[in-house]
Amino acid sequence: MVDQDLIYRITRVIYENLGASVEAGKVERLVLDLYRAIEPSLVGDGRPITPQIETLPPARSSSDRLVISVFGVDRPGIVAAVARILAEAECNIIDINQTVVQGKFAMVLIADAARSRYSVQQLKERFRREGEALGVRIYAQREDIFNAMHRV
Amino acid sequence: MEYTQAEILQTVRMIEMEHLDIRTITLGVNLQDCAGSVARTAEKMGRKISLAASRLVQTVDEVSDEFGIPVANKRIAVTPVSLLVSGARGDYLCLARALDEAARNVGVDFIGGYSALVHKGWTEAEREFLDSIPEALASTERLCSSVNVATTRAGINMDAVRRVGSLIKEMAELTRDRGGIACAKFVCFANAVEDNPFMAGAFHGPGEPEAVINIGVSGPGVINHALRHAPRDLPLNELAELIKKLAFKLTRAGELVGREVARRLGIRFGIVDLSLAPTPVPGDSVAEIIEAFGFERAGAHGTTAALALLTDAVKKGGAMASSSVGGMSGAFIPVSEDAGMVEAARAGALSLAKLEAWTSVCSVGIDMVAVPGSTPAETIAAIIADEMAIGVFNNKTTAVRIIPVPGKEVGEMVEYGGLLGRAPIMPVSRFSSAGFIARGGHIPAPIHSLRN
Repeated sequence: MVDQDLIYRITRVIYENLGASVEAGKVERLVLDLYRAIEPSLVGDGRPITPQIETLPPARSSSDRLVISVFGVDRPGIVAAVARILAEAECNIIDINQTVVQGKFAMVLIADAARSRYSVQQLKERFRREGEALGVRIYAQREDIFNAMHRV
Repeated sequence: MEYTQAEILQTVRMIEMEHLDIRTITLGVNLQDCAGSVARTAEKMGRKISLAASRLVQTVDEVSDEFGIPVANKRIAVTPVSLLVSGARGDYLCLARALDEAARNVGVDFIGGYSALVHKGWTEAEREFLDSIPEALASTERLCSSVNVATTRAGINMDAVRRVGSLIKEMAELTRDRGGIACAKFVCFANAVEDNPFMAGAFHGPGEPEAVINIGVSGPGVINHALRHAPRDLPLNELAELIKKLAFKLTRAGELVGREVARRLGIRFGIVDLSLAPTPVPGDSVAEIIEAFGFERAGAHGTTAALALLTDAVKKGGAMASSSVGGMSGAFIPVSEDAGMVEAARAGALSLAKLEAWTSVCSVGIDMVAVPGSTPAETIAAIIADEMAIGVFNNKTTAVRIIPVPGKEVGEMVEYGGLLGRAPIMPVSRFSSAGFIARGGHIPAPIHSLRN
């Protein structure tokens, strides 16, 4: 916190010594320079000069489960490819639901990523690359989003 | 399976096809402890913003990626700067530059709060501060400014309204070569909200805590898609029900992301503002939602009623979804940012008069409307006065963000690009309001402000 009273007193002393005709801008710069020079040695009211922001303790983290959804044209090996990525990451498959309607492949899979060797971002990147190779779209999202949107 | 395939598909479709996104995650930072001399304030607020927002962009990107919901903008709102300088006079532009630089350093696209609350009067310092706004906006890139000139409790400060009319003309002139773009970063309010996450009007209100994460969810594309796929003979009450359910889902998604960002940053979560905020992308349009009710064009007779239903259903769905709904929550009707509005205005279906009527039932006001550069300052002040009266006398927030585009006349277009889009120059009344505006003074608060 700037010590306004001190600034006022410095300004007064300058005007007393140099008279009222002195240029205001010059006085302001002089006051500022003087104040900055002596500020580090001010005892003041003990408050830190750097402004602080409050930080709250981290609350409970949300679910570690991922919902992986895959859509595209059916071909052999889609389920295997997704399962392999999850196995390599040490993610457990909890639930899986897959259908093919008129050649269109759709799969929804819930995986537990609590002990995953990769971050969600890394997993998503792997799915994206695998999806491109297979010609399907693979989405991986934290389960909470579905819980929030579809459950009261 | 805990979720049906249809539920999961719906979420994926909303995000992939219907442009569901979180329009903004806005970090509010209290700068009251930075007040001092102007030079010192500039230095301290720069430091405080860097401290508070250093991890904002990175954290938002991480959370957005994990939940698979895009976040369009990260922004910062600060304590109205006029409150910090009331004891110190000087070169306010150095504060504007400090805020702009702080925003650039932490990687946010806008910083709001070069603002003043003058609904009942102003101090000498606040008057000087107001005068600095045009230059501040013209010489910075990311800074946004707002002025609250009216409240239901205080009435309308017509001296401020008159002043703001001239300021808007000045802003346009100073950014003449860029279509008067400074005006797009300035908004004039009645009943401004302290926790609004949306720009250009976001500021961190004096009643807010040290730091807070507020979030603005959008999703006109989602509502638009649903209305267009509903049976054409579905009664309006059932359409309202449909909108309410979707608003519930959108709000829930937004709150989840907002709370997770706040948790990781260790900052308090404030509010989720569910406002249907359009973008120039086709389909992501509030005008198209209105048209989906059964109108040939947005702006036709009956569209005020449709917008009232829409805004109310959005609010009800949001209120059911979260106890932290705040900000504006409703539907935004910016002209330039909404491809459907632009088309309606060009076709002659949408006039300034109809927009004004809409603002009595939508969430904000006359927004991103381009008018001829020759429009007198008094006429702009009078447009503001009308809008403020609607807010004050109906107990709601209203706002004006208007651009008198230098050198352009009715029928021409102005291009801003990006989220700000493009706007047709719309006609204003050619009859003068100068005598009314010249009176100045103050419009007393309405009788229903006496509620104690």
